[in-house]
Amino acid sequence: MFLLSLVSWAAWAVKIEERYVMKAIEEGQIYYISPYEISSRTNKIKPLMADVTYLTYSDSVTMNISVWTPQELLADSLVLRSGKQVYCRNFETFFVERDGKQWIHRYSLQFPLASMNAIYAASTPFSLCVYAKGQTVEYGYTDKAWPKEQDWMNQILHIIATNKRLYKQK
Amino acid sequence: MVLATAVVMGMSLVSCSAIGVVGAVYTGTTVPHSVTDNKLGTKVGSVKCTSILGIAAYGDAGINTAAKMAGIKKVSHVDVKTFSVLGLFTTQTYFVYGE
Repeated sequence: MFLLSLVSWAAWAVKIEERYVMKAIEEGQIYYISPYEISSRTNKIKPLMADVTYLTYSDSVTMNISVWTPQELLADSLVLRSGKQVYCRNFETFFVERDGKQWIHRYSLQFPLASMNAIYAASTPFSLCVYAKGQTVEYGYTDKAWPKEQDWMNQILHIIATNKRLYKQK
Repeated sequence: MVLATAVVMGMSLVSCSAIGVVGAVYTGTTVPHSVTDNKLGTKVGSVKCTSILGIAAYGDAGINTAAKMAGIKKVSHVDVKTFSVLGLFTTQTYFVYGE
């Protein structure tokens, strides 16, 4: 019983410093936020996995996402919105492959850090919609899950903002 | 006795091969895995493998997979992060950097 508790604690207790990596590069810094789940709002579609890279010198965020669907569903468009505000429409497709019985689609979105800050400052969760062949697959947290997801991401965004200020002062 | 046996089994049967320093009770390390001549890139990809109780291990932790997930064509270096408790629960995450 003790062992089981220990193993489950090990699996689920994720500290904030475990969620991201910061590296110094010639032009500034890279922040990499390890893969995390974003729930699906569409029936029979599993959650997407997203990871985020932020580059200080370009002040841009790259969000790479893995989307699984039962059929191949190459996106025509991809929209990230929070409330009525659309934050990203541009995307790049890295690859589409079979992953067991599912298809995995890997997309990359790019937007400014200011958009990421605004998305995570909002009181309601954002949504990410994949439009393909007349179908829509929607992802986003529930209202109940949103504060928890907001909390850990905002902690990282705070660290980024603090270091950005320090870097400007130098 | 049962606990001791399970711990010894876990530590001896860890399926994600340990890299760098390893603690018998707890391991939480990040160590370099490999470096190339390429300039430190601005893209990062990660992959993970997990071992449970030394009985089951799963995950695709290939450098190629991580590079593909991040759209990396030139790898600059790879770091590996290990987390383990008593050797019973172990995860290894490979961070691949490149351009």
